[in-house]
Amino acid sequence: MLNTSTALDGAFRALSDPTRRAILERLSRGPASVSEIAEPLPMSLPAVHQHLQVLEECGLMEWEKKGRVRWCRLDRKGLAAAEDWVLNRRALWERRLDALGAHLAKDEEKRGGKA
Amino acid sequence: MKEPSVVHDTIVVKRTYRATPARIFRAWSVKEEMGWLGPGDVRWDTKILEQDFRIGGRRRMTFAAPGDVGYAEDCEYVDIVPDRRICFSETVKHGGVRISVSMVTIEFNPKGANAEVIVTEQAAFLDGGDTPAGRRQGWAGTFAKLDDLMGGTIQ
Repeated sequence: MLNTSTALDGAFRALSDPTRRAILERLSRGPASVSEIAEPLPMSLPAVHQHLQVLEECGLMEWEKKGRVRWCRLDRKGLAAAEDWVLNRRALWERRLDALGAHLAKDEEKRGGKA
Repeated sequence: MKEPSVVHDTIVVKRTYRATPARIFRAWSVKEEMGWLGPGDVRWDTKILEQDFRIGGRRRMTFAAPGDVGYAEDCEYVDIVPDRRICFSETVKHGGVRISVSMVTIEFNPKGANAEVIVTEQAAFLDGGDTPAGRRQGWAGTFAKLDDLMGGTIQ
């Protein structure tokens, strides 16, 4: 039904996590080293690494080696694909009809509550 | 000023709900029931300014993600068949610039105890304003939109 590619599915799964969104937001201000990214995050370095790996695999982030330090950089192509979908008119209707479904489901909850 | 351009597209989206056509029709016609008609997330600033549900009447809405200039969606109802069909013309502006004009048809079809909703939007997208490049507001706006969306109703 949705005209989403596998890549887009991966991107949205990656974006569904608040930590990974925070990382991307940091990277939108410019490349950063792993330790810079990890610094404000309340988790271990290996956990941060795992998040970075997910972002890299789904095409939202790229590694960049400068000297002995690995830097992370936003992959704007992957992000643009996700954004195009978000701003797409069809996607707007999909979301609206999801929301309508949630609205209608409240009727059943009310009925269930009375029974 | 850039060269005027038009891109036509027809969008069809269908859903089946566990509700009667009459119940769903009400969710499309009574203002108090129409909160779901925002862009899909309650944290977008969404306002229904007018909902005058009769042929020739208007529905006016605005919605904006944090950091974005926002959209204005103006509709005029052109055909209403109670519990079965609503047709309206729709103009969408982004930051005051008209980006699309459309004809939208909503059909409510009984399917046993359920009902199928078919949304058909026949749109003319104007001057590239609704293309990804035209809509892109810089990355701050993008993250606000993505963050709102992902933190919101989508599953």
